[in-house]
Amino acid sequence: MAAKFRSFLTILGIIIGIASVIVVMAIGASAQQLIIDQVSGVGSNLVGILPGASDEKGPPASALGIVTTTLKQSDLDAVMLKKNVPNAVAASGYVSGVGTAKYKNNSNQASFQGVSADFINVEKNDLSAGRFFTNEENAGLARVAVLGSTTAKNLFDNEDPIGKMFSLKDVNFTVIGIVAPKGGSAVSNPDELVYIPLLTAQKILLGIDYLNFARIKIDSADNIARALADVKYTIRTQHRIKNPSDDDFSVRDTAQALEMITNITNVLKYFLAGIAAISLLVGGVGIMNIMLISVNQRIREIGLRKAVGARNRHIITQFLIESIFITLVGGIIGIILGIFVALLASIVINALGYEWEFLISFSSILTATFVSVIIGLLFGLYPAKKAAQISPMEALRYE
Amino acid sequence: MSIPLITVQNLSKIYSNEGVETPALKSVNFVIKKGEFVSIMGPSGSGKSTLMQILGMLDRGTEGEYLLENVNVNKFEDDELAKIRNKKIGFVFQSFNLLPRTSVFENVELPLLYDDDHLEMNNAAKVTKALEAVGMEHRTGYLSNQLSGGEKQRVAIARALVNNPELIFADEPTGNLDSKSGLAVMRILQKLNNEGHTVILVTHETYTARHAKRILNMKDGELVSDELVNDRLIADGEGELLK
Repeated sequence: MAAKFRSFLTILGIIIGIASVIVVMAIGASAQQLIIDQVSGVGSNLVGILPGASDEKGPPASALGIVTTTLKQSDLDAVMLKKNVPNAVAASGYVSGVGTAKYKNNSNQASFQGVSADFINVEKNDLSAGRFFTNEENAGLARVAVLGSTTAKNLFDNEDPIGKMFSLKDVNFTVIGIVAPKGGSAVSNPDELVYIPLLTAQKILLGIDYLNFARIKIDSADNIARALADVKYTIRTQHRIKNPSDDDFSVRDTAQALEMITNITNVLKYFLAGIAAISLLVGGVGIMNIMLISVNQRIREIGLRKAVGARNRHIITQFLIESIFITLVGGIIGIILGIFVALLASIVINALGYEWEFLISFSSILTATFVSVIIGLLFGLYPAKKAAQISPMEALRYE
Repeated sequence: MSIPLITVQNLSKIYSNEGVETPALKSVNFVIKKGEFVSIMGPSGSGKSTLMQILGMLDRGTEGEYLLENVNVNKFEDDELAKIRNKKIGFVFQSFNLLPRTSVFENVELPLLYDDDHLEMNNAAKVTKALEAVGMEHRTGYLSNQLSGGEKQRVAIARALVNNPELIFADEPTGNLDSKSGLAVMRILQKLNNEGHTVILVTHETYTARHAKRILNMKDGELVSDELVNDRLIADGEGELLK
């Protein structure tokens, strides 16, 4: 009974190790899916332009919080000319800021985005009420706003916001439309945004003349590569850049962005799984320990087996099978426990209102099984070799 | 009866432990032929156990030759010795050395599992035959720890027999048994010898040794006498009969 309990404690190390790897991989995969869903939720066939140079894989300077003022509306106008980028169908510049939004007694800290009238054609956005602003309103610095669904609810409670006036950064805006709920993450939630005309935002609220970001919709996925090249060429011409290595802007398509996000989140996922795997090493040491104890307790048995004809490899195989069996059992229990914990986590996260998918990949289960076998093999090898080295005579004499 | 099975020439064994050398065997010579029943006798420390371990290929001599069927086994690798032990030698120990919590069948089957040349599936027949030879066939499914001492030793003999070995070594086989069980064990060993197995019995008791046909007397690592038993004991029925 004591021996069984001791074996269980040893297996526990493997169980916890495998379970934590499974949980980390599952939660990592779900988080990754959540982010990817959001990025692709913005729309497909999009090309983004960011101010500041970057290499293709890394984040651009602007994403690191460095303000670059080189991207202008004039660049976007040039891109939209048919002769420059024939495949561009719509484009919007973006500037963003934060300000206090007030209506009657309600006062909220709100993120606002100044966007072009074409914004509604660039991103996947449906209006649940009212309309989006027009090019004319943008050019005329109209003080109109389209609200994200959450902001509309927070600011106007149960009133119909359309046609009502509220203040943003102490400037009065008239609500002309509401964006249908889209859902989002803790990182950014479009439902909480206030959309206002780009020029209004630049001139009245922010006092700037540059863009934080721009998005261009391309007519079809097949033309994205060509459009990317056209956009780059156009902006280089605008900025009088001769050498591509001197670019003061970066161009990305959605696929690239997705790839980048996948890369970053993969690194995070595997890094966390690696940390979890350290507990597996500790578990492995426990296995080695119990196997060494077992070899010691069974010296007579080993001696007898050798006396009746067992060769060294028979003894090694016997002890390896035992240690692999122990780690495999631990691994299987760990996988089941890990799946259970990941399922529990997804239920809790879903209850908190996020679109969290429960994701367990077959490959992570396969990997975990494989890893537990390898641990049994690795940490069982030394005790097994030790067992095989015992001389039959010594072993039989041992009391 | 005339073919030499074991030839020992000038066999010595010295144990070295932390620089201290202890001679256990000093230049021992003898020949054992096929079909003999030999007792190696002597007090503890006489070297009889060392001699049995070398003859049983569980250990090696330091000097001298040991020929089994005229083949010098001194230079054999461990795995080759294991193979010979598996095929030609059966061991019976004082403390039985059955695997605990393991069935009688599995205990007896053990040597067959290490016989790479005959891994065919007639193990059950061989095990049953060996258990019948020791009268233990009715205990096949029992666990080893459910048996009495005498039964354990009979199972151990069945295990020694299962590969039909040329040679059977019995190291103080009656040492842990009451006299009745001990008698049964000696009866089985004599029966096996009558059936053609060569039996080598190691004991410190003259009474037990006299069940053999020949006694090698050991003292201080030397062979001090080698004589045939004139008044051999035959373990038969409930009592002992002088031949």
